[in-house]
Amino acid sequence: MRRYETIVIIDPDVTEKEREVIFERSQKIIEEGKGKVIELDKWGSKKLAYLVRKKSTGFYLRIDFCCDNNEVIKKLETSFKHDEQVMKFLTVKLSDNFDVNDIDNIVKKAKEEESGTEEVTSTTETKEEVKEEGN
Amino acid sequence: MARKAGTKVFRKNSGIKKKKVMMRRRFCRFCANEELVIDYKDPKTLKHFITERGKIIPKRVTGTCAKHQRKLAKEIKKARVIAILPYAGNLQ
Repeated sequence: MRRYETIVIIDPDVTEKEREVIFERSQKIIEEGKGKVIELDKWGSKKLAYLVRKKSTGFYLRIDFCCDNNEVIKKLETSFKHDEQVMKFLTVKLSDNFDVNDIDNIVKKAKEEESGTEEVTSTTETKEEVKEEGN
Repeated sequence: MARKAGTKVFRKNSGIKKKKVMMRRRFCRFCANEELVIDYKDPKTLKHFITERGKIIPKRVTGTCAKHQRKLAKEIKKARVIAILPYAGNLQ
């Protein structure tokens, strides 16, 4: 399998619901082509280095996926092209030989990193709760 | 006569000093530190290798080796496509 990475810049004025439609649609296209989504990374709205469609910010989304079928990428890119809410996109091939079995390890690592940050936030929350109880 | 000789000596010294400045050693950052990865998604490392105007700085100035300069140029061009780095103009 080949591993790819697509970065999509979505219009910053688009609401969350409309954004999730784009996420789900791209996930569907990948899964229909017998590919697998490894990670769906939302960077959030960031400043652009130059104006795109007269806008200075954009919502960045990174889709990390693997597939064998070339048509998956064609479909994905045409769906972005026809979508007016998508301002820009770029697909990059990360590796030619990718083991499907490696996905679990990568997902685990990502989850561990996330849980690490979550733990920190949860401890702060509990502290606040304790304070409230004391008052 | 004494004055003339003195000026000559001064000139020679200044010439040598200039040469020494020019001979300052440059090294490839990516060869020295293998943990540094050239990635189009991270503008912090790429920023060191472009001018204020957004041009790619030649390797004879930065000292990057040929192999890494090739990769740098490719990654900078990718970063420009997704508006992480500018094609031209100032960094915001």
